[in-house]
Amino acid sequence: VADGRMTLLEFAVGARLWPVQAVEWTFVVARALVIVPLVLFLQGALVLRALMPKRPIDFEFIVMSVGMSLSLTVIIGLVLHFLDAMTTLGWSVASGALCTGAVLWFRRSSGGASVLEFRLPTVLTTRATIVCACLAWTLVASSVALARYGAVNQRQFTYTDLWMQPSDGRSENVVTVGVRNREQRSENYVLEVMANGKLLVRWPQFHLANDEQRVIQVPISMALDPDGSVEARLYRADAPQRLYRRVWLSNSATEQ
Amino acid sequence: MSIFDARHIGHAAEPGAPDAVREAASLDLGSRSTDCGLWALVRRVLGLAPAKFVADAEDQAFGIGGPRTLAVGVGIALLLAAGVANASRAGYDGARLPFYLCIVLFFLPAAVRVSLPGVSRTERFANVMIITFGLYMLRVIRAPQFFLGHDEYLHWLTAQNIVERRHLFTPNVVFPIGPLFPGLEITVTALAELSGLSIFVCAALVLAAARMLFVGALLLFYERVTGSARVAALGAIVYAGCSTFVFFDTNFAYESLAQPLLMLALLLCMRVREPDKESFSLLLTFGTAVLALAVTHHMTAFALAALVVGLTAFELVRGGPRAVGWRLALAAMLAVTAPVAWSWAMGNPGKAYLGPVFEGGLRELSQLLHFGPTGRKLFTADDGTVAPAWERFTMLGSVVLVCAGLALGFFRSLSRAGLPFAQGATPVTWRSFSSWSNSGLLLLTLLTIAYPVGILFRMTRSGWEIGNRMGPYAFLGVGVVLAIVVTTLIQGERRNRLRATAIGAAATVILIGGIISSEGPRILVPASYKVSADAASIEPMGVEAAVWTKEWLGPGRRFAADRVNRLLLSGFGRQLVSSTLQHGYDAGIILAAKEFGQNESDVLTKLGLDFLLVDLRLTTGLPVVGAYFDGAAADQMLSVPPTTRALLKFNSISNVSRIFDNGYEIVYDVRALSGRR
Repeated sequence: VADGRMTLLEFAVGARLWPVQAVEWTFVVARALVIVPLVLFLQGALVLRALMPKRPIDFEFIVMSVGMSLSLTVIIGLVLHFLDAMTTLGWSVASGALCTGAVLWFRRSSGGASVLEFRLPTVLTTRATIVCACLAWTLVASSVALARYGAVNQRQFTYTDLWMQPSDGRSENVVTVGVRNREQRSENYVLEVMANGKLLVRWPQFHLANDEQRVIQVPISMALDPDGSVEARLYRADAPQRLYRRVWLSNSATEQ
Repeated sequence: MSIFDARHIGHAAEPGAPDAVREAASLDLGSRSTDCGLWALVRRVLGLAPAKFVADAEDQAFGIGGPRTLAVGVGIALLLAAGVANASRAGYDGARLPFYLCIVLFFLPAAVRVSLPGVSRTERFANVMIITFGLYMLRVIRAPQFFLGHDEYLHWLTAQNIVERRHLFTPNVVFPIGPLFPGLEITVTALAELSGLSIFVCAALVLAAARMLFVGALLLFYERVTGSARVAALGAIVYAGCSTFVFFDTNFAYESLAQPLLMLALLLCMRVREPDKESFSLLLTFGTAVLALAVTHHMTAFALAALVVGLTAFELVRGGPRAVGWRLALAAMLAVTAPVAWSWAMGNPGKAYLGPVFEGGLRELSQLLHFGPTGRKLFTADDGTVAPAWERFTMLGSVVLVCAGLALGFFRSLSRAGLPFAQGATPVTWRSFSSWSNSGLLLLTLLTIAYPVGILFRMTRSGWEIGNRMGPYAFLGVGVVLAIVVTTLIQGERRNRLRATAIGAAATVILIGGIISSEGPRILVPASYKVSADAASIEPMGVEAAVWTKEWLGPGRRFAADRVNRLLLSGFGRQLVSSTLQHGYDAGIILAAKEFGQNESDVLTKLGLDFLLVDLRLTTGLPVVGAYFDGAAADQMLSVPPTTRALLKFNSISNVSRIFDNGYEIVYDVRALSGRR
């Protein structure tokens, strides 16, 4: 993660602790299964039930519930902003309080009736309908998975990144050079670092597997001219005469 | 009791449109002219006669041609569509036609089924909801990995700001007005906070819910206005042909939530008119939706205000203050007050944002009407790509079908709205014009006038945007008017499958024509990169370069880049990119100029830039969307692609560091020039 900390899931993946990973995935999925209907439907449905306790749960009620849920979320967000509480806790408390309040209000006005009492139409509970629904959902999920597979594996370009950065502040005379291979195959490179136009250091055999990246700290052993620079040059081993990538830091940039 | 049960829809459960029928029947229609010759033919064609109504079948179990089969058919069609989308990504150039055929595969049978009389309300509505879901999933299949639309990145940026800073209204340099209308971002980030899912996934879920809400509310609204589930379902099917329906209004952009909220508010507006014990609760719900809408999108909120005020005014003219009632008057007041108050509180940002768009659009429309040049070549993209013949014919076919439908249905709808002169009565008094019985249908019918106006706007370069945004409102009327043509003229009460198939085919042409006119050649992601083409320009290498800037330079650096890399840098790199809209200076001229002179140096200093991202791929072609940067000074400089030499001019400028190079994109550190070091 960005701040260098590792989540339990990432740790589990790294350590190949599959049971831990499975538990965490289950938690992620279960949390989504509860939260998504709550935010997109349930909170609106409960508020509408509290406002109109005698109203049957029909198509119009479902449509209005989704609309009310979305509208309420926007308004809750505004309130949380002004309360400086747009956090997970803030959202949880606000959403929870709204739903609990709606349920209590409904029970008071309806004499203790069940808040979401409704019966699915018979046509929706027949075996044929359930089989068709399962089949349709499977096909839809497969189509998304297939499309995602195609998108993830689409590479319009094969390339190699080369970059150079001043050191992280611990030493003024060190630069960081990075190379990342995105050529979709293993590649051998030749890397040269020069200062004031003179060769400082050379890596004649620099092998990177596909998607591999290497970052090197290069000490600059000479003082740079006022208009001098530190330059990294990358060649592919199969075409060593042709400059492939080139980056540099001007003298002013190294003084960071 | 079924969730689709009609018994709770008031008069809508009864066959026909009772308001219209009863009140029209009770009117004195004045002296009728004699039916003879040409006038009789014209009256028959235009439908200048009292409207007839057809009852819907009672609820019954789903038949074989019903929603179960359709659901599986949609699943199969989507799977095929995903395969075709992958084929396009893999380099198959002819993928667009099979992709459209996948849409036809599930849309056509549903449209045929919905147009038939004697189908239950449950089945009609279920069919429409299933194809709505299917059409929505096309968006997911098209962009399953990350956002692809230009506007989506603008909103993504606002959403990321909310998640990171836990506050609203954080400035967004590429989209200054966006954070002031954060309804969509609030909803998506709320879901992301609570569920732990990514913004991308949460956006897809919220937009799915919003889409189902829109069509559900549209069905109920049409049903309540016309009193017929068949007209409602057919109207929704026709509405899908609106150019913004399938892709534009499912983008992660504020209209995508605003349109459903507008539709819900319109439905609630119709409901609060009716005497009901729950009217106060419905009014409260209406108020909640209107407030959320005001916070979500400026134009849509004002459009709702106009529609509700229009409805109230029609009721006032029709029957006086008693017909309006206090609830409708209050609803109109709420609909007007909420957007005005929110815009005022936000400093009326819409004027500066939309003013130039309207000015440019109206100017070009005026030029068009005077046969002057409008700067837009029909069926031709800005990079010179011409749409294939079948796409051009389908687009034209959809416009012709809609226009023909409007010609046949305009007076039929007015007749159904109870307007005496449209029912064939000779207008003898003012009352002949003002004694309609169905203000909702009258309003929708009059809205169709916006359709040809929108088409004219779409023929201009600057006005295209206006024409596109008028579509959703015009189609509110187009949907219901064309549905009335089908139910009263073309299909009527006959269960003629050939006619039903023809109607389904026409609806499909309107749908496909709408998609083509909105997306054109960009409907699928191609295998090869295209210059400034949004979906065809956003690819993994550009994304990784943007992510690199975040990892190695840190977020919040001031960058100048072209249109597409600006989106990636702000979205994935979290950098502060320069935009003409926000900063008043076009950083593009620094990149596009042949030499780095005093002017470029001044702009660099004024903008206080840290880094420049140069994309050498810009040299390979003209921009598909018409601009390399943001359409300002730099783009006006470039009638041909910029040269490699111009883009690489920083190589020879002292004190400029070249810190990143992937062969296509180069990052220059210009802090020494801008005085930021």
